[in-house]
Amino acid sequence: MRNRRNFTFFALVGAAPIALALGAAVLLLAAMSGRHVMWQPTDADLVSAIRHQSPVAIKVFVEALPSVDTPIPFSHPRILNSRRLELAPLAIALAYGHAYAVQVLLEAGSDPAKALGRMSRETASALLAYAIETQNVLAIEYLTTYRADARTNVTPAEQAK
Amino acid sequence: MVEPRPGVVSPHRVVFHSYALLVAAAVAYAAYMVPLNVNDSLKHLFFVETHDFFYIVYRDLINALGGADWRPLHLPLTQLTYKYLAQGHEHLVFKGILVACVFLTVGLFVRVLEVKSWPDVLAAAIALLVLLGHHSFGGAVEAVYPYGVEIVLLVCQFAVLNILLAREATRAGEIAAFSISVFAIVFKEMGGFVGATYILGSMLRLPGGTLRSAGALFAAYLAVVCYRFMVSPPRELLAKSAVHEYFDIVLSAAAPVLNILISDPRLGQFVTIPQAVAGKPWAIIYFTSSLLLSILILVWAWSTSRQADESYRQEHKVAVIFLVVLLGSAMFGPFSNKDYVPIVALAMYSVVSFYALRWFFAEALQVKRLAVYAVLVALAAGFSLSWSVRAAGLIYYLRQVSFAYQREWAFGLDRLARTHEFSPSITQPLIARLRPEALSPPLNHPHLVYPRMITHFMRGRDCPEACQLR
Repeated sequence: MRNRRNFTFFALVGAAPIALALGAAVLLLAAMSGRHVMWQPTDADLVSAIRHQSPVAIKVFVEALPSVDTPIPFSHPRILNSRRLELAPLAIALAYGHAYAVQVLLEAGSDPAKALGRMSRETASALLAYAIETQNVLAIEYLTTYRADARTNVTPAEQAK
Repeated sequence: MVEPRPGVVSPHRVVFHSYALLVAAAVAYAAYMVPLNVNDSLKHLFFVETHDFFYIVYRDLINALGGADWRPLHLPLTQLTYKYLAQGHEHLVFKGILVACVFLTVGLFVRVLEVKSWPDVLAAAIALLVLLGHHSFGGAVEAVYPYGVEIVLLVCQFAVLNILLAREATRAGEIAAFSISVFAIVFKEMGGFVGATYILGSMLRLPGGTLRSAGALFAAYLAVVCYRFMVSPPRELLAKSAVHEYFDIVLSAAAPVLNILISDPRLGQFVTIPQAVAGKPWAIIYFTSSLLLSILILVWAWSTSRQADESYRQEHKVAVIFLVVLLGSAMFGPFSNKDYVPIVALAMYSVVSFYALRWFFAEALQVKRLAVYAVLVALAAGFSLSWSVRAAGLIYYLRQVSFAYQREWAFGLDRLARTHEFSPSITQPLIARLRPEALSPPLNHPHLVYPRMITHFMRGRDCPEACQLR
């Protein structure tokens, strides 16, 4: 009985520190093998980099893209009701109001007409409505310039804002 | 207390020391991978590159600017390291010093702990995680200054504690304690607690201290403090502090004390408790782990205070030192709200945690009623799990610091390093040499690297800024 209690005690109390030590060992082994797993850019995509406002990562991913206007799976609950669509990085950057990402993408050769022309009118309208709601001047400017048709679905009240 | 018996290799010690070595190596690796910082490190390198050593000594020691900071050794040591040790290998040398300090801190910490049984090993391992996992330690290894100033204070504190807890006082120990203590207070103002520890420990008759050396150290400290207040009088210092109202001063003074005991407030505002109330996992872990451990320390002190055992009496003396250092850290609260302000108190907190946990584990294993036993084991497992998560959070935090420093190199270099204050002939070659190293490999924000589940549990370290991130 006493032994069983001791075993339970050590198993429950010792598990977390041992797990931590195993994690430390994995980290060190990876470092020694030259992988530096904790430090390499991961497969997290450009959407996440834009969403989390990670300028260095944005540059890395933009450089890694075969074309800066290649559509990327994207979902934004406020705009698209959780539907996943394929959008160009520039449209995604505008959706998050990330001016730096827009700048990097334009410098990398993104074509606004092409990038914003791909999405459906419904998506463009939703994006514009959201941009107006969040007072995202940059997105409003680009969308009204390159997707004039997007305005048709915006309500008068939203336009008044 | 800390001297191993000659010729006897205890398996408990071997296991615990191996564990500490492994964890320290992981922390050292993570700390080494953090790029040099722009805001302070690079700016200081420009400064030491453009000024004469004796001018820097004169400026910092004799003609100091009169702010709350008084660190006359800092820049001269940076210059000596930069010019004579680094010689083009700044990251290697500065971060190498930081890594050495991490190993020294952990090595001196484990040497203080008396591990005699397997429950002791568990208690010591968790106490080590308390030291590394407390957010105050993050400030000691993030190395805003290239080699991490606060980690040096931890090394000094544990070195003096080792001397105090030696079996007997020696002349070498006295000289070492005196030298380390004087170095600590001149190195950084908070280092004064190192000498206070030795003086108080000697007055409490801990075996390694003597009243003679404590008296000499007290005289030396008095001279240093008087000189320091000649440079900047206390009234002037208070006028320059971040807070001006008396009520704010009291709150700011209490902040470092509460920061150690309940992990809140941080950076001048209550963050952890509101987020814990809102159900954020990281905040619940931070608040409950600190609060329960602080309560356990109180219960341990109360329960063992009447026991006549000599070892308990010694532990209580260490607890008294912890209390004094903790309350003393309130002095610095009005001048800085950084997490690392109570760093010396953290050293003592982790040691006293070991005593409390060791007592708690021994008591729990003797309980006969199953229900009570189950509750105590659940509580012990809670301590273990929560502090393990917090210690793992240190790696996460250092990853985030790396990202932030790399951002500085990529986007804020001129503004943060104040390049306009220096000649381009000085700044450009240094930047050209250090920038590619700092930006390689390009890093993501850790929110992108780790699974979302993990970030929910660990993101507390970077609060309040990252708490705003969705």
